[in-house]
Amino acid sequence: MFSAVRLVNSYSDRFDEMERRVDVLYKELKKRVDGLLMDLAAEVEEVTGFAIEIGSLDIDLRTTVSVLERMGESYYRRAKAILDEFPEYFLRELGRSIRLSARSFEEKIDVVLKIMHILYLAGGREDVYHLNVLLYAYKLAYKSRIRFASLFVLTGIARFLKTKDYVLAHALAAYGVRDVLPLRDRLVEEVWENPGVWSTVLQLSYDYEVGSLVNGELLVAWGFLEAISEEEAL
Amino acid sequence: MSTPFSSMILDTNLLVYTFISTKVFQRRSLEEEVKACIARELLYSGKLKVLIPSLVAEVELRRALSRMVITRGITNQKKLMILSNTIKYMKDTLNRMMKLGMCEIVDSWNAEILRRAAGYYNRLAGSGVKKWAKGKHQDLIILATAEQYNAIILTTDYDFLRLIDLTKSTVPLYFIEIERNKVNIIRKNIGAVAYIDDVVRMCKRKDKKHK
Repeated sequence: MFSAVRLVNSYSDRFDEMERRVDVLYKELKKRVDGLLMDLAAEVEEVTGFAIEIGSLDIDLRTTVSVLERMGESYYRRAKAILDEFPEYFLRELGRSIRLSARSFEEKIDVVLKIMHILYLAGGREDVYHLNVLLYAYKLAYKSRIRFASLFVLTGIARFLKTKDYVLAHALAAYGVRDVLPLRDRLVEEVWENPGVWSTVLQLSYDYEVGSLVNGELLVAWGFLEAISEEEAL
Repeated sequence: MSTPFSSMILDTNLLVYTFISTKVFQRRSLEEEVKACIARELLYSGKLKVLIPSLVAEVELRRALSRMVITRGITNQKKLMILSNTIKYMKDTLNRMMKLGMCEIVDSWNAEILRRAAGYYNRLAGSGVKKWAKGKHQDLIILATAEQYNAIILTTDYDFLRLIDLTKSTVPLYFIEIERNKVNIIRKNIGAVAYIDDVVRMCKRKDKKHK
């Protein structure tokens, strides 16, 4: 597995360049998602008889959920196809700065999550963290048995890229993968009743499964546990 | 057995594992595995609220990190940035846990707690261990915080057993002893709390399976 320690030791001088690549990724991703959402809006108008703009601020969470749950199979397959390209697409762009290799699909997602978390720690950009949480939801969508899980994640990503409103974006994504979230026991209210809790549950699940792995790798390699013991032995 | 205590304080050497997964460690010791499992299970399952003294959240973690930076000579600018943002990330994670009611940072800098801690120190000094007690002021503040909030202390640090004995404190203590491939629970001022015992047993079993 790709090592966080090796990434920091070998490539820390390229982190700024990689952050710029993340901005390129944002823009490209936004273009792809926007195109799909325009088609979705047309399909929604056909199904429901009214025009909406999914992912924008003009639509409330409850309506978004209800609309997405009524979408057709063909639209879902197109959304999923965009999502399926994600890891490859991210790795290709980031691979311009560093040497990367990942074999399986799951490994590719894990490598992307790890690199993005390190970039977040190196640069401190909150938007990188929030996008990474959405990418984690995307990984969970492959395990989820919720119908159209990926579609909710994609809409969450669209909402975030469009409005930077991460609470609603994370809440939507969390709704799509609610059956596989490690902290799902905490979800007692409907997502539209308390999106803040849904959003926090997704973030903490990310912290539990992704953030603590990267922290563990780096801090332990740098001697944090020994430092704690030394402090206590004083 | 039900417990009259609704909260607990995880000692720093357990709390750190909330932020650190041992999954990626190349060499995992029994001690690390069990500590990490206990800390993460107790905190994330949220059946007992975890109280974190502000001394630990705001000072101890930073102090350990700065010790690491100085003694390991971590001076690379990017590594320092990563560490600085890691502190912020840990704080954000705690805030998220607080939002869900899983933990609470409690003020350990109030006069009542400091007075209690000073009282404990005097008892230690009076029992002939003044020199040893001088290095234990942080543990004394944790002890006083637990007393103030009627919380159980959960620790793997033997010093707490000694502190309770020498000060005759009535603070409930769960000491998890991990030695030579064995994990034991030693309780002071408290009977068995089924939920905590179950977590410790489960973590013990998990580790055996892993090996």
